[in-house]
Amino acid sequence: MRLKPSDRLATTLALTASLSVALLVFAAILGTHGYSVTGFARVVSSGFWPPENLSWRLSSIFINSLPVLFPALGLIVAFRMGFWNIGAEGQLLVGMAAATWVGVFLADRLPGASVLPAMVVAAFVAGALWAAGPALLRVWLGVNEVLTTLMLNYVAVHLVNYLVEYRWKDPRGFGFIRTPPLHESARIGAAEGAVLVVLAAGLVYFMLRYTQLGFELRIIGSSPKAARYAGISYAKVTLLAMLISGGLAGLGGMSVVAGLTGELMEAQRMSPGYGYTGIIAAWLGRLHPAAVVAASLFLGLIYERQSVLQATMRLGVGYTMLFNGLLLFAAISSTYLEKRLREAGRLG
Amino acid sequence: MSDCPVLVEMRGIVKRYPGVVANDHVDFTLCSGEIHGLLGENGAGKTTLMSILYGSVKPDAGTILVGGSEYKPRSPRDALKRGIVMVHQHFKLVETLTVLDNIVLAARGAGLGYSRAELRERLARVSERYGLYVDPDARVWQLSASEKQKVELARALVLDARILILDEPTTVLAPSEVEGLFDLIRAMKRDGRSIVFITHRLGEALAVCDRITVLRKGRVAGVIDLSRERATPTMLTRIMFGEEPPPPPVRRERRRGRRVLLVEDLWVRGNRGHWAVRAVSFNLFEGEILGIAGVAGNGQLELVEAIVGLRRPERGRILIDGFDATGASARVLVDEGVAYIPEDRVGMGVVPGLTVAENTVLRGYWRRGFYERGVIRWPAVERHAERIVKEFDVKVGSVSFPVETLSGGNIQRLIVGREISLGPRILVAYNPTSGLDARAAAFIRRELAAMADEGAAIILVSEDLDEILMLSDRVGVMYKGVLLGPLTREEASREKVGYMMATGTGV
Ligand SMILES: Nc1ncnc2c1ncn2[C@@H]1O[C@H](COP(=O)(O)OP(=O)(O)O)[C@@H](O)[C@H]1O
Ligand SMILES: [Mg+2]
Repeated sequence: MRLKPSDRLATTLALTASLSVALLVFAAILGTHGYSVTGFARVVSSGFWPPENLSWRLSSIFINSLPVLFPALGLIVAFRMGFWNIGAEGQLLVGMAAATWVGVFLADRLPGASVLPAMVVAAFVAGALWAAGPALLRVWLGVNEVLTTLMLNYVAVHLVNYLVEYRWKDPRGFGFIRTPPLHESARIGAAEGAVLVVLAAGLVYFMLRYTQLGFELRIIGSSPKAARYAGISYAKVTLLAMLISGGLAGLGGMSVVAGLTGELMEAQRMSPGYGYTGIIAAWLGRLHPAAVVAASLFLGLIYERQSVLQATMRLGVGYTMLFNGLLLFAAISSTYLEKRLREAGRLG
Repeated sequence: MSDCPVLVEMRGIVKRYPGVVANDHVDFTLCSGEIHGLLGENGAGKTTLMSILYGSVKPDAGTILVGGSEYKPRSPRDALKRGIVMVHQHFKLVETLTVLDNIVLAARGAGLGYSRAELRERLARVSERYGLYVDPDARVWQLSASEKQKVELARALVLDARILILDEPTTVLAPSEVEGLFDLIRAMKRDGRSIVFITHRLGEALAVCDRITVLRKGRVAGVIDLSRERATPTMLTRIMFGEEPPPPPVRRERRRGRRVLLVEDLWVRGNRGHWAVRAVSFNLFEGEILGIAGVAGNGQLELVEAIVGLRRPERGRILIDGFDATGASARVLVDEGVAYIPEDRVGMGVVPGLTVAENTVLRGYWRRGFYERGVIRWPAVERHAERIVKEFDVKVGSVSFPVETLSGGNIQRLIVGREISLGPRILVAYNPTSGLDARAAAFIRRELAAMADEGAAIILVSEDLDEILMLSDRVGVMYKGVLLGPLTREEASREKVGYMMATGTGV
């Protein structure tokens, strides 16, 4: 868990170097495609001044980072045990649907104060159940989780589209494919988001460090053979870890409807692949909760400027994805660089 | 140095690995037609030095002359061209191919133009001449360890090696097979071949060699010409270790108490689905050490794994003090007082990426004192780890360092300390000292002896027959999945146990 100072230095150096390269490559691509690199930088860095704008801008970045932040926190749990959950996107989408159901159809029948907790529970449970399938298939039949979690993402997309189109479509929506708006009591702002983030990050940190489950999954992640020697049940740990991982991704889905859109639309309009971006945030943050929160906020910065970039520079969502992809590349290549730096440090 | 005809001369060989100088300005000469022992404890640098001669390791400095001319091998291919072949500690055969295919492959690799038929013919001649009978059409995976060794030797001879390097060839043999290997080595010498015989067992070096070079911590500690000087084991020991050897373990009490373990008609499958353990039954009593000898791969591992909860038996019963432990998980068995020191230290015994402290509760983190009110108490774990580090002399800067920074001997001290601190009724140890330096090995043997004196029941599986005979109260032998004996301490002579290991009979 704890890194020695020299190792921490190696991590920092490696991440800085590879992120710089990623940024340079991105700038080069923007340039060759005829976009203004300085314009891009200006849009991304604008709005922090004067101070009146600052808090608005920060809370906006924060809200925009939540759909990445929650899945990323969940992925820490799965990745730490070496369970390759590629299904955060699907888990996020079903969590989003469950939250919508509570926020649109149940909210007026519930006492105001219990709407948000009910949404949280519904989103978490839906995401957890979506993740349970691949976990069970893995422990019962040994089916590779990469395939099952990935395939379930596509199923989730169709499920959400089916629900909005055929079940929950707003009859007064002028033919647009979307649900009625969420109840007022079902919306969240930066304050509620902050409470949830602190709870979720705290839970993940505590779970990994202080509970038997957390210790067991770290053992499995580093040495499955030693885990057997310690008498750890792979099946139990896998299932519990995936319930947590999927549940947190489900919360990410709730943060999309409750924090950003206020209504459910077709899947492709709800998520530009937040669940996949969560993988990037998890690796950028080296599977440490606090660092993953920081990485997600950084990604939120770009998401938040997405519409402005589109409006002022005609920069499509494809460039955001490209940017994220470069970050993932940086995150992964930096682990290699980091290893080399550490070895060099040991020798020197 | 001496007046023998020098064939190989290695001068000032240096090889560094991260954190260790494996060869530190080593000089080594091999004469034509001699058996040259390369002696030293584990990690002394023997394999490294010979791998350099064989071209599979590149030296950092030094020169080599072979037959008087400069020799700079870039790969074993170059070595083969000069007639140098090395038989490794871990065999380098393709398991799925036949014996002959392996030889054909090696001949092609060496660029020798023999046809398949010629190689078959040569193999037959070599087999005949040296009594090395191996079926050319058997698949390698079907062979036992000693047969694989024969294949490697036959292959070297078919390729007409003039210089044979044998790296610890006796470790895969039963004691009774060792003499046969020595005869073979002598026969090869008579044919004018030169042999480098690597070993860490000084008795073997004295038995068969003409000259001995002793390595200690990467340096030459001495060269002894046995035709001129008399060498005693004590003298060699002093050269090997640089001091008196560490004290042997003592058993103060040999009192057998109640029966704690009953194994009845146990059948266990191995990883390939075959019956690795067949109808094994035995008792184990408080205060005794039951030694289980045997050549590796005769079912020892599967037997032990069934007892400690790592492998489910197909048939039979395991009773611990009346508790039916058949098929129970390792965690349940830890709580029943069964500790286990596995052979695979780094792969199974510890989690290398976790800290020393975390590893000291790898088995036991759920126990009261470490885990209370739903939380693992790390401060308590760290105190526990510090006690183990102190008591078992684990050399590490801090218990919050990852275990991967420890050396093999220190990892084993940590594992032994952890398992003993579980307070076991039954302690199972599998090759607990293999590959350790003499000091660490002696320390661990003393700990096992002390545990037995205090009343624990110990199962000691070891490929080191001396270790078994030194420590055990009773000695069983695993042979093809069957447990022979156990013999009492008095009955268990070296010859008798060795004979049982090799033949499976003689009880
Ligand atoms: N490939 C390697 N990488 C790092 N260290 C090595 C390597 N091979 C050997 N060593 C180290 O070099 C030393 C000598 O090893 P070796 O030649 O195998 O000794 P021996 O054969 O006498 O037991 C040991 O400390 C060992 O750990
Ligand atoms: Mg060696």
